[in-house]
Amino acid sequence: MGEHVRNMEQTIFQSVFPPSFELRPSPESIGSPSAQAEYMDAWSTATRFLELGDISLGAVESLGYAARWNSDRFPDFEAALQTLTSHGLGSNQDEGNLIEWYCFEVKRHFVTVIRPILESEWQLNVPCGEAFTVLKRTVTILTAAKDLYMYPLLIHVFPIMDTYMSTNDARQKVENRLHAIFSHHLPTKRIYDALGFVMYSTGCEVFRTFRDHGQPLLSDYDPVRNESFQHMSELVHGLREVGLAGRGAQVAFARAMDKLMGEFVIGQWVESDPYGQRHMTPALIRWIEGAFPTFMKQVLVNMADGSNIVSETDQEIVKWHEMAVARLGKARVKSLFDFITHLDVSTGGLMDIKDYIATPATRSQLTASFSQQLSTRLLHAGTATTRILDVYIYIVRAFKVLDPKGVLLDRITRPVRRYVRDRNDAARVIIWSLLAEVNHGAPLESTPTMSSEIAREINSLELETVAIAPVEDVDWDNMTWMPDPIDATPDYKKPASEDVIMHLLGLCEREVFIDEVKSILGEHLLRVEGGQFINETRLLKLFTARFGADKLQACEVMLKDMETSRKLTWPIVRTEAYRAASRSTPGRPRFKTHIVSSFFWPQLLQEVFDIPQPVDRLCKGFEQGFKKVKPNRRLKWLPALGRVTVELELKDRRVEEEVPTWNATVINAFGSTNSTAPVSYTVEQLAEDLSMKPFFVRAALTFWAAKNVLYERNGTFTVIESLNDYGNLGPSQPVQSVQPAEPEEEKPNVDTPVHRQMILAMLTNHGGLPIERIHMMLKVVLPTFTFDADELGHLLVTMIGDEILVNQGGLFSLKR
Amino acid sequence: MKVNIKSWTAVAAWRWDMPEDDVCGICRSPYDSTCSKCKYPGDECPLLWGECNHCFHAHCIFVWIRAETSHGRCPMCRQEWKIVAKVSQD
Amino acid sequence: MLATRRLQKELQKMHAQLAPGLTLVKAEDLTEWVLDMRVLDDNPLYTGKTFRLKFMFSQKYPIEPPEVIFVQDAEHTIPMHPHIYSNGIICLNILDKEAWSPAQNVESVCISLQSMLTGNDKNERPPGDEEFVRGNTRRPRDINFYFHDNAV
Repeated sequence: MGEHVRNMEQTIFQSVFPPSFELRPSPESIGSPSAQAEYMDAWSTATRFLELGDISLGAVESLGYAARWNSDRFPDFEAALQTLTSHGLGSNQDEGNLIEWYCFEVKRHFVTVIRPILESEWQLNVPCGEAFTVLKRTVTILTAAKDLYMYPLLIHVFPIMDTYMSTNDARQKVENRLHAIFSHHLPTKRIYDALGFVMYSTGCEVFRTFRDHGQPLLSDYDPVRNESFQHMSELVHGLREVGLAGRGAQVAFARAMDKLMGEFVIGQWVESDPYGQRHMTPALIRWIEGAFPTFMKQVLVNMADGSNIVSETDQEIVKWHEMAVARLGKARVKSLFDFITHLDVSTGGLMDIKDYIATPATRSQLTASFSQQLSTRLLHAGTATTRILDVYIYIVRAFKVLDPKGVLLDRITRPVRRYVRDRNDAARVIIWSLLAEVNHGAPLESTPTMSSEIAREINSLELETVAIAPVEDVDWDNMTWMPDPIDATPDYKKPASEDVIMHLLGLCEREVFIDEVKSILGEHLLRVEGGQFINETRLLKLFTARFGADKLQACEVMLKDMETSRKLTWPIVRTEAYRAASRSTPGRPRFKTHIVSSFFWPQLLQEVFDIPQPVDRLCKGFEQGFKKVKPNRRLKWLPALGRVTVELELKDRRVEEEVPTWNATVINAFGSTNSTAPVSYTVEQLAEDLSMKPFFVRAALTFWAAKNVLYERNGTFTVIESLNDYGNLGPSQPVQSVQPAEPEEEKPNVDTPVHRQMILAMLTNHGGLPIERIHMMLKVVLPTFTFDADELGHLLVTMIGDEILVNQGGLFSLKR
Repeated sequence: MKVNIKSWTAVAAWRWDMPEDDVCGICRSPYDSTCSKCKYPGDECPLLWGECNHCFHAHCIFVWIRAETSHGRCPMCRQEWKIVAKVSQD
Repeated sequence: MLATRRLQKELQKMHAQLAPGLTLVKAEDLTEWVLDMRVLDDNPLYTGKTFRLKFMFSQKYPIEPPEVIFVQDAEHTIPMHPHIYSNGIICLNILDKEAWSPAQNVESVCISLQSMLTGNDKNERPPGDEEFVRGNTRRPRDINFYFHDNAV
């Protein structure tokens, strides 16, 4: 060990202060002159023998070592050596003298003859494909050089020295010196880099990590049988023999293995499976504990001596294992967003991540990386609210798998919650989606106002609840079955969907949400025909669980009203008052009334206008019946609410539509019993005749115009009795559609002629309206008006700029 | 064009036959709302008139009358509280 | 339940609008409120002074009356009045169980107190004030006052 260190020191010393040949050891001064002369003689004989001159490797090879160094050519050599040895060449101190001298000679020769050859090999950049070849040649040359240098010592010098003292140490020392000379005079960094590359690419080949090669190899493959591996082993062995398998090589090896593992994990597996279809961690672990260490050990055995290397490797396997799982996990985490948006296929990838997040550090990495992905790919102005909600549902589902306890989910969703709060249509979209009618079996797509995932969840909820098995039915195949907690009631099984919905509700601020629920639920209940309202009842239960019962009292009352209303209707329609009215009504339309508790329903439309005569009679009859049944109470009709099915018989076609009451009232005015000229009205006339606000008149007329029942010219609307006539009618006002925007449209524009007309109609004969009122009215008559108050504000400002409107103290009115 | 109304669903709001927008003197909630304990308005949470012509939620006035300190007096006018019977048909 | 709802409604209304001379100082829960009161008319006994009232509600409010006392601290004194003891206990009929009605509320009680002070010109405490205050350990609601004179 000390020797080794000293050699190292000398090498270092010599690298800083290059030796000059003058420092070559010289013969000692001994005692007597005669002995000195004999000594000097022996010295010169010996050195002449050992001289290398400028002999090239090729020459030596063809000549043969024996030819160069033999007793015939140097008959006195043995005697000389004996002399030197007897004079203390054998003693520890002086033994280095001749050997030292020889080492210098070797060095001189090496630098002069051998190094230039090697330099030319390494002069230019070595392309990766040639690394192995160049290394092989280098090793060949060095091996030959070493053989050359060692030959005279081994064959001639050491046998003689051997009789006097142990030559093993000397031999070792010379070898070390040789190795030191080699590595000192060679571009070792580049050599090790090349070596590293060779090891890495051999590993790649052994484990078939190159991209097109199909499945990666697993544990039971024995790398030794592979041809490339054998070549590499030989190379490594050769390097070791010439002293180039020391620390530098081991570092290169470690780097190569690291890169190999990375390539293996990511290049081969992760990139070929971007949606995480395969669960790779178990296979990876098998590899890390099986084939990979086998490979490593085989290489190390060639590189270094001693079995301690191998057992060290065993200890390191634990670290490699951790590293590999971490590499895989980290790479998978980067794709977590893609996994989540493809949950139907990505179970494998998710399981990989689950294996990865076993420590607080990795969990932090996950939250940081995923938050980043979310803010780049989801939480920005270009994403539709329904998309954000859909993805949120995916996130909840995915994290139930990843982290059943829910800690991570909570952390992850905090930024989502914060962002969603700034989307003022979020609560509305959620509620509409929860109330959406879903046709089971039909494919469901998100629209700008409905999130398909939410709708799916709430509808699977009802299926699950219905399908809850009775307590006796135990799933015998469920290997993860656990007994219910001791205090569980028989219907304990909480459907998974309920959990998801509760998380969804967690996104919303209480007050905002509750207000929206009240107004949306009101509209919804009045629009739905018949039905038991099972969904709505269940929804309300969920809301109550999340937000508390007292704020939601209004909703409970609304729901109950629908049922109570039905029960109340029975006795009312049996009263004489109603029956009389019904008998005298021509056409016998199906008539129904929803009776609602005035205090609890949201500010519904209070608009009043005249309704068609026959209907009016029925209403009056109904009201009288009501007074009989409930004398303490009175009714107030809300003609603007309610739905009508109206059928139009035109000359060449029939049109049937289900419409709000004002639409029906307006078109009813265009009806005639005799076939004279088609009926015409202006907005003002209708407003007058029906005592209806021009705003609603206009809304109705626009609707029927879009259905090609009416057409408008110069402010007058006329019935299109026959579609053939339409072509002859000449230029008409452009018919603006009130149909929902085409799906291809990027973002519907708030500034359209229809909207402008409606706003003008609303403000006609009206002092001034605040923006909230205008907004509400537009939403009522135009189901497609999904713009928020800000966007409406832009339009109003534009109209002010166009000098159509003015804004006085927050109230908008027509400019005179 | 002939217009046939095939079906008409109307909506009407009911309220107690009272001056509008008044509140019950005991709980301060509007008459058309419920007393502080009930969930549903209507026959389950009715109003009661006294002969003094004051009106309260039935449940509210019951609690008051049951208390000794009320001495059976109307909270508004301190006259004796006597219920006026109003019959309803169901 | 009744108390909760009713107090919430009163609070809502008081935040929006309160009779002149009254200020809501503290109402963080539904058991104890603090209000400040000034006498509006020019009564030399009370000009420029602000008095502090503490209201304490039981679960049975408004069937039971609230307990109301004047509070004395660094900035507030107990007003001098023949029906107000120097420890803040008030002798007012409507605050007594027998004469209370749920038709009253916090605001109306304060107005009554304002009126009680406005119409007073006697700068004195009730007879036996010292003894009463020294020996009194009962809460206002447990004290039964006999209402003697009708002129307050």
